[in-house]
Order: sequence, then C-alpha cells, then structure tokens
Amino acid sequence: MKSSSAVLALALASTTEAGLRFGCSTLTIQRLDPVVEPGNAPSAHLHHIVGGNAFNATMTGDVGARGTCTTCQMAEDFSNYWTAVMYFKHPTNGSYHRVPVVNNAALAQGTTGGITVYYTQYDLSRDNIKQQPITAFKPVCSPAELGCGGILTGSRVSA
Amino acid sequence: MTVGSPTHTGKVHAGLSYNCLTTLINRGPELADFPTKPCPAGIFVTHHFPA
Repeated sequence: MKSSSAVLALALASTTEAGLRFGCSTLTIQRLDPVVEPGNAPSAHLHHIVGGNAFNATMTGDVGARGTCTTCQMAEDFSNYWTAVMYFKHPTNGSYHRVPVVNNAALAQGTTGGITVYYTQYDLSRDNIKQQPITAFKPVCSPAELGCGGILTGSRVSA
Repeated sequence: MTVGSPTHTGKVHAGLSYNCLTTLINRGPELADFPTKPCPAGIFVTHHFPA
C-alpha cells in the first residue's frame, strides 16, 4: 500500500499518474446485493455496505442524482461499495459469529467499521484505465462533462 | 464488478489478498491466502477490481 505522501508525490510528478484513497464508515449490514442479485431481498448472503444513502435492493440510473449523503469522506459522490461478511465458526460448538469490521483509524479517525477505497491506475506508475473499464453501473453522462466525474460516479463496486 | 465467489473452495482467489496485522498500522507482507495463524490486530483484506 502507498502512503498518502507517496501518492501526493506521484500526483505532482506527472499529470498522467494519479491515485485516490479515502475512508468510508459502515452504512448498513444487509442481505442485499443490487449488482449480483438485483431485486432479491434477501440476497443469498450478508453484505457489509458503505457509501451513499441511495443504496437499495435494486439500483439503476444515476445514483448520484438520488443520493443526498454518504458515509465516505468524499461528500460529492454517492457510490456504494460492499463486501461479503465473514463469520467465525466456533471450534467446539459449531456456532457462527459475525466477525466485526475494524475501522482504518490510521487513515480516517472517527470512522466506524467501514472500508478504505483506493482508485488507482495500473499501479500508480502505468495507466491502463482504458484496458480495464469500470462498467458495473454505467454513468448517465459522458465522463468529460462537468460534474460527471467518470471514475467516481461511473463506478460501483461489489464483492 | 465482483471479486471472489461464495462457492469457491480453492485456496487462492484472484483479486483477493490479505495482510495479517501485527498492529493497526503494521500490516506486514501481503499474502495470497487467508492467514493461518491468529493476527493480533485483525486481518486487512484487499479486494482488487477488476480481478
């Protein structure tokens, strides 16, 4: 992982190399997955979800137009990110216990649980964005348009 | 986009890597497989998209 100072130094070194890193608190923990199982409530398994308040069992169109706030540090964007939830199986009685998520206090003090999000080009030194387009939910406007922010509003990530 | 699969039973998952945390800021090496020993400060999991 790159330190914030390394990211800044690289960003200043060249306009073609850039990285973005920010913290997001836990938004909710739900059996929902609008990418893999749109409309299914509940989905097959549990997810830990961060990001904008427009998250729902089904998500289409421009989430940025519907969201009004987010658990992420970037208040201008309402993307959601989610991961599967991990369970600990008790070695003697076989019971399952949800493993809690610890916040990345070194990056964002005051966050609760959550995810650290990195947007990078290939490895902060090579740009292969065109070879790896992010298309889970397509943006509703051209990334070149003001306020459309292709890499941000055009990307929704799930796991 | 998605990474991993709930039905996958093999060891290495494309796009997933792990750090066994000694402390909250000491991540140690990035591992291709899930840690096999207790991690004092937890496990840092990286999901890389696209995988």
